[in-house]
Amino acid sequence: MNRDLVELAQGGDHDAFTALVLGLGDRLFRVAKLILRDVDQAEDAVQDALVRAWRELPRLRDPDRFDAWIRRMVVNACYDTARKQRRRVEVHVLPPAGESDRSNDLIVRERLEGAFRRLPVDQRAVLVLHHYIGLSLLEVAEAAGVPVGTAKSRLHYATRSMRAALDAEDRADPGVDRSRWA
Amino acid sequence: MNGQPSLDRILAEWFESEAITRAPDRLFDRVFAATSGAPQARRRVGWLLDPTGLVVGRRIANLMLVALLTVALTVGALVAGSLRPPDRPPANVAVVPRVVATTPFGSPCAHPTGLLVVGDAVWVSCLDQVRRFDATTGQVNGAVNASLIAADPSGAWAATAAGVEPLDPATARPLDSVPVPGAVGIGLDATSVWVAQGDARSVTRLSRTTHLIEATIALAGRPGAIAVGEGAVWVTLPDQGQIVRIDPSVNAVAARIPILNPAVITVANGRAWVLDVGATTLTLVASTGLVESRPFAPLAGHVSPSEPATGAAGGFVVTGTSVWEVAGSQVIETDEATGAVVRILVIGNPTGVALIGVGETGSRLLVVDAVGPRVLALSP
Repeated sequence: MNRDLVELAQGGDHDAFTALVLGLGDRLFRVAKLILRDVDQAEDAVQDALVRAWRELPRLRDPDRFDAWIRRMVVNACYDTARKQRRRVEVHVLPPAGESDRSNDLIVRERLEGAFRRLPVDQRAVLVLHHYIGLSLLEVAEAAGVPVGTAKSRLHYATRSMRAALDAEDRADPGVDRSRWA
Repeated sequence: MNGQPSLDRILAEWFESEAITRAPDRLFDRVFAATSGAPQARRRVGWLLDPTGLVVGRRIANLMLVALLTVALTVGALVAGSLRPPDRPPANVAVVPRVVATTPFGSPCAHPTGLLVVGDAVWVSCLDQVRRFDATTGQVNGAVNASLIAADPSGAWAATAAGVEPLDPATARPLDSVPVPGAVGIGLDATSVWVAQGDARSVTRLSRTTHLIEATIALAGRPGAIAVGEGAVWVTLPDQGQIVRIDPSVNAVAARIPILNPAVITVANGRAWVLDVGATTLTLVASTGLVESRPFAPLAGHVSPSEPATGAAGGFVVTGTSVWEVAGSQVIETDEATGAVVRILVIGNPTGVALIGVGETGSRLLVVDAVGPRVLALSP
């Protein structure tokens, strides 16, 4: 991240902010989409986060921490967006298990999708931050705005839930290679 | 585990495969519309101590600080004799007004003409010789008397007036010579060497394994440059004002795309990228035939009028989401998807710089300075 750009943007230079956003926008959008599983919601979340970032940028004390700071804003915006959507019932249609003409990989992906969608949004965020971005637990905690212990337990429960969901479906569909998740 | 991937790895791979989407342009439009002119929060400024040691209020302290800074800046500007406001770059552009880092590359040759970076190998074309440098040490570790080079992680081939030559990976010396004369361009895919022959008005295909000629494809005119990738071979025909796409599965021209004065061509991110002779337009051609034109090196010269562009615009390289374009003494980063300028690196020095090529190795960007002559490694 370009420290000079951050400092310019902090001083109200909208061009610098624009350059920052263009450099980061895709990555932030991907994170939001992975967490929320919905393009429109991800768009709303990233928009809210970036607009808020512009307003709050002068208060960022260490420009070198801009990446982590904006990431946290996006994660928080994802929480807010998910909260707004709670009352909307989502029906995610999965094909029936055991179809012989679907590849094993496709079945695994569908099960991952189903299991992931059933997780609370805070656990989804931890999985995405840890496994997609590759953040350490300390960094995950910072991005999620929680203590490290909380991040660790969220990661633990999320992983356990994913494994349990996949194992349960495995038992229901013995045709799938069940040794894939260890 | 039974040798199967763990859940952690499955999740990482699944996320990676799911994360291919780009943010829609409308998102940026909305953000920029919402923030343009919108007020920002006030910066947090803490308490200060006055010279008497007494604590004064935040507002007074801030006023004192602002006054002090104003006086200091004014005096500094007067001393430097530069009260003229700096040239502001256009919207969306950050300017990095210096070389961020250089590596001890030796002088490549008196007249470098091009640059190709493949892994740790940096190939610099000179008039009748191509020299290979180690990207880490900057030391020359091979040279071949040739005018053209094509390389990928599996090996390198050079072209001379008489033919094309596979090179020894250790020494870069020719291992063989195949009589394909008059090469004006050379490209590689996994199994073949593709040679554009000017006088013969054709493209010849050789096996990288047997070195035997497998096919010759006739062209409508004299070829200018060749690029191989994305399942096709692309050749420029400057006199015809077009490029052609050759289908390797049938060794025949599959499409002709009109492009005015095509000069430089490369393939990246599913498209052929063509720069015209005057280095004014970059044309992107998808395999579907979809064509998009963009201004090449947009805004070059705008940022730094005191550093004249002493050389003709040169090459470009596509790296992931960025396109790095060299023009005069500037390296311009544009967004691969939109063409919008992201950054301008100004590589100035008192004698002027003419950049003629750019490549990427690791996290560094390499450029060839034809005036130096030298190879610069930047940490963008």
